[in-house]
Amino acid sequence: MPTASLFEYVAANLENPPLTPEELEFFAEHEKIEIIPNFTLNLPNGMLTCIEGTYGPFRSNIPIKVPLYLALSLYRRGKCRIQLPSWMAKEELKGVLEEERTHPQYFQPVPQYYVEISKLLFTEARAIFGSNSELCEIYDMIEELKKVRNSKILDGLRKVSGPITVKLNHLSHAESNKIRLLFENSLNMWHQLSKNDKVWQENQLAGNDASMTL
Amino acid sequence: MKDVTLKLTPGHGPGQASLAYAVTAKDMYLATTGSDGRLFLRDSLVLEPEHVAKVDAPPATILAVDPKGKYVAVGDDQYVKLHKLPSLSLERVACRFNLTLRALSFSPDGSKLAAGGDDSLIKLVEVKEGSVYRSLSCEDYVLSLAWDPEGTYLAVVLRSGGLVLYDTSNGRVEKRVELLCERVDYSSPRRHTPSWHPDGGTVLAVPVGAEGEVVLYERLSWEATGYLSGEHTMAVNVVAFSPNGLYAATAGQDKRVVIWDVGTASALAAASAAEVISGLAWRLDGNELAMVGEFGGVGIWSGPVPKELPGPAVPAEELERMQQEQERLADLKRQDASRHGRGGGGGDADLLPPEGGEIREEIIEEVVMDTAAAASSDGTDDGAAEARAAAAETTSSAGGADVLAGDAGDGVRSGLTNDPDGARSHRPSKMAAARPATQTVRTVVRTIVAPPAGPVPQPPFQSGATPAEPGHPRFLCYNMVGSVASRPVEDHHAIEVLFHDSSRFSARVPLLTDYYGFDRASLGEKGVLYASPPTKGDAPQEGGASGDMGVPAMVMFRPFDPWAPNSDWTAPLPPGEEALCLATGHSFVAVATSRQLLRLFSLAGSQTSISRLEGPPVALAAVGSLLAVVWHAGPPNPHTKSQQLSMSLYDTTAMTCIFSQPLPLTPGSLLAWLGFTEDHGLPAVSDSQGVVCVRTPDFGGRWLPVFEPPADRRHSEVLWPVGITSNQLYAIVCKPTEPRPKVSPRPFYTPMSLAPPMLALDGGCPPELEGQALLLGLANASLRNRLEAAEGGGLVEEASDLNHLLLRGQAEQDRALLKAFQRVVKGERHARALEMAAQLNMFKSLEGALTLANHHQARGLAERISVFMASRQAMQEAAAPAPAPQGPTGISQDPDPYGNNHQRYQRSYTPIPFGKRGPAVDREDGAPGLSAGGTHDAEEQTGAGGSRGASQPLQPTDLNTARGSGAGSLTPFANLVASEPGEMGALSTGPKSARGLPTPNTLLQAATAKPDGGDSSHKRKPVQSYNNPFARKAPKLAK
Repeated sequence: MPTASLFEYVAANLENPPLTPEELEFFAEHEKIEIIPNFTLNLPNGMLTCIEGTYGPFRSNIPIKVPLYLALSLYRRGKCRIQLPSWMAKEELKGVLEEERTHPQYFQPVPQYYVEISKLLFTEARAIFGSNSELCEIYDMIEELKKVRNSKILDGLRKVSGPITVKLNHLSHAESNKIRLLFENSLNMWHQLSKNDKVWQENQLAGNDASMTL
Repeated sequence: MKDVTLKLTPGHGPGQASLAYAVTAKDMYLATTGSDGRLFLRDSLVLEPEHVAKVDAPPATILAVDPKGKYVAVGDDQYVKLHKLPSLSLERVACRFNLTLRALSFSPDGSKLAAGGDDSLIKLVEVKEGSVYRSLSCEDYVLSLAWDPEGTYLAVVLRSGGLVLYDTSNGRVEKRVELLCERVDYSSPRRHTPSWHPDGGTVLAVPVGAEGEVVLYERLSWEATGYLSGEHTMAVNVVAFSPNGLYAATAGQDKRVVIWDVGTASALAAASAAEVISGLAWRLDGNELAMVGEFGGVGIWSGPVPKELPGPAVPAEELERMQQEQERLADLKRQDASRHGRGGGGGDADLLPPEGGEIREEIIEEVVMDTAAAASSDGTDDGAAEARAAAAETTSSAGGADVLAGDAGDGVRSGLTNDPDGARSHRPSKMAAARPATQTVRTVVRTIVAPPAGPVPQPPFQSGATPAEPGHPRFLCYNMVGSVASRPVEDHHAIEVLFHDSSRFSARVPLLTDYYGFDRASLGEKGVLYASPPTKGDAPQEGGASGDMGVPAMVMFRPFDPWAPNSDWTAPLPPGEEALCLATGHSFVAVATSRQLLRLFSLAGSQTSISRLEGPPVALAAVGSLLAVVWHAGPPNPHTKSQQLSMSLYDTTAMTCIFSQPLPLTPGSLLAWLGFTEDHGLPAVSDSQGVVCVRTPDFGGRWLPVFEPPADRRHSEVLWPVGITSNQLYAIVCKPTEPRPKVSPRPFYTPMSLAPPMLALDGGCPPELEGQALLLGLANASLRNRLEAAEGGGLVEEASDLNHLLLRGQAEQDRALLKAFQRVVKGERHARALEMAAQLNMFKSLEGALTLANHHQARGLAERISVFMASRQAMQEAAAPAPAPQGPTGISQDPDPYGNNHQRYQRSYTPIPFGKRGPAVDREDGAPGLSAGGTHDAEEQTGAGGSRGASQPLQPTDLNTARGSGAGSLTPFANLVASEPGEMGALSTGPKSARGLPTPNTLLQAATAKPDGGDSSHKRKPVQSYNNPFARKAPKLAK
């Protein structure tokens, strides 16, 4: 059975990938983030019941963890302050970036949805970073982190030259999604090729010239 | 002080002996003589005799060395002979006596020699010619002579014990003191040698009395200005000042030698010898004291003055230099210290004020007619010369006031009043200068003001304020309402008010541009109150707000939602008054000022009250119409270092004092925060150790420690309290390096569960459960009090709300108690379990306890619980004879539905429809359906309470109690409760217990006493008559 070439597969599926970035962003909105509400919810126990879960209690000036979508919608209404996630603190980022650069062989652990969360916060809640320069600094660092990790991924991809098992620890969702189409299918291709190679060699050994005539 | 033991080498025979250091041009010797009639000139170190001479008529009793080092005069039985130094060849006979010589003394210039003995005659000899130029008759045997270093006076101690001072220039008696010393026998070898202070003879030290004292006479006034006492047990035989006058050595008949610090009149060292010392001599250039005993022993005490002190022979100039050095260092130190605002007055190193104290210096310039005054200042001046803070004659206690007076009569140093040396090192060079009848005396009086004994009373503070740091923003107030932050902007401050709950206030509070420098603020629900300290102008007493005149202290109030324009108000305080503590309530604002006044204003600024505070204010707090005032009831306890605080709680609406009682804190700590519980309005405090206490009305008002910082996190975090509810503490978590929150980023508070320090008893019940039950009981107690207040005030609606809250609280408490009960039953502690069951509020909970007991196969416990239940039921039936038939709206229609409802457990007697109990009797959670039963309970007790109210006698009122007794009187909390149910609490006002009725504890006793009593039918199923007729009303109350 002739398999589709990698080029054909990617070309066919590029329009319809298994997971779109928008879907990933939606998932990321379910990540928990700490907010400090400036209102007290006048409901029993101050709990807010959403269709996917119950959050709260919302009491003024007492931090709670809510999903990002809730935090952002409250933030848009001026009802809360969003606490910067700890991994987005400047020192933390600096450390991670440093480690990421010094160890080319593996990835640093980052939140699964760090690309999406940082993008959402940068676009929707710029004020939580304090001054504008702080924002730029953190933004630059996250971009830098993305680049470093991306170059590592590309380096790794170049090394794929056979049907191998690749362990990709600490790869974030966005990153794995980016290479999923190509990487998965290249590996499949290699696998197919090696299978074909085996069959061919067996045929050679058996002296069967049917394969020769194929 | 441990005595040094001195070893004397035998030298002379028993009897009077004498010694002196002889300094010749080449060498230094120790000249000794004794009853064997020999005169030795010894090596000053090893005491080996180098030159020997014999007197003609032994015993030789006395010798004296010419200050110039040319002669040594020796007195024996008949003659005073002068021997040349160092050869000891006889120079000439100075004079002749009929009886034994006893005393010799050279004049300070060495030109004259005074000699006296048993002849009752003192001969003054011109040394050069060897001729007696004057004879002083003294009508008694002479024991000792001492010639004043100034050469003016001659001190003579007589055998009768008298002291006579002659003026040697004219032979007149200057002063005579009878019977000063111990009278001695004719044959006694005692000497009672006096000694002049080498510093111009400003002090004459004379042994006095049989108790071993030495009196210090002041020159010219001849007043006793000090004593060296407390060391010798018997009479002092010899006293000798050290060459520089800092120290004195005394030798007594108790065979001890003591070194004294003359300045402080305190003993520095002591030594004991084998014999009574007959003569003492300080080495002139070292720290050595030579002595000769009455049995002829000669010895040297090496290093009598402790090493750390200046040596006894250090010359005055050297001492002065050392002191100047010390002063320079002290000055440097003081300059450092003065940055902290406490630059003391002038003073030397020893005059450094004790911590918290200061040195005040004032210069008194006066013209005196009296020479005695001048002389007296000399005497004290001398005390200063010893560089000791306390002159011997003025102080015996450190920390007292010490007056050092410097006479500047001769004008040498009169300008140097700031220089302590001017007062100290100055010495009247000629006493005649002090003689003129009129002179200007400039006296520098330096007073060491001792700090207040023990710890300092804590300064007033504002709860929720962070300390000011120049150039940094700070919180003037941070509480559960919001925050007031002051940010420095160029020459003024910008004050921003932010609410935690921005939805509760309609308008944003505009930024306040503050030119007064407000340093205190109180943020309330209705507005914010600011206060500023007065700014000092050039003429602060003039007051006025004009530029350089200084601005008086200001108080300013800004309401949040005024209905009328110009609702802000500003009040300048009179000069000398400053607002120290502020509080903002619902209907009033309070200011406690530095004049110990408590000023109350209404929100619009009308002055409703001015009253005196009982003590210096420490803090204020307000909630609703309640005002808590904490003041200093007295100075802090010096031993425990605890502040003596008292607290009063006033109701500003009813104008009553709810209580006034001492405020106990953790020993040694300060009050750090003052407030009220958010839900019940109980006063709460936090101290500097982080322990939070809430005042409960039980036991006449006691402070229950509800929160202690967890020990494991005490080193990693500091809790900065913001507010408290009945079960949680809201605090900002700070780092130990930065124990106060910063303005930016905005801090948030973290709720923490309260946990009273309960003990973990064996038997498996965790202390948290019991603590929780205790806290819930506390909340219920305050609810009950509010309920009573509401009932008393006839506020039926509020009462019903409160009743509902109370029942819910009781259900919660029962749940906690039942959990604990279950653990205890599991742990096989049945007796404790029964006691816990007795604390349950509701009958239904008791039923649950019974179920649990049965489930755990605790038969005995189950039986006793059922007995207990039965007695409760009986009690209930007795108390409520007939449940009155009431309609569904019975609560509001009942004319007196909530009469005096004091019995704490009364509602628990109400029967509960057991039939409604669910079948799940084996549930482990220990709280089978309690919340459902609560409302039923409520219905029942209204009827019961109403019927009992009339018959119940009035309670013995507690002093703290402020409750309305009838419908007409305004209860203190009615207003509060009406305004914000569930938000602002009324205060629990005192213990309520129906002493006429048995409490559950008495029932419990009955239950524990009877092993198998009671009707076993109650064990499982109560009788049907317990049905609650008002069950239908439950949904209405549970809103």
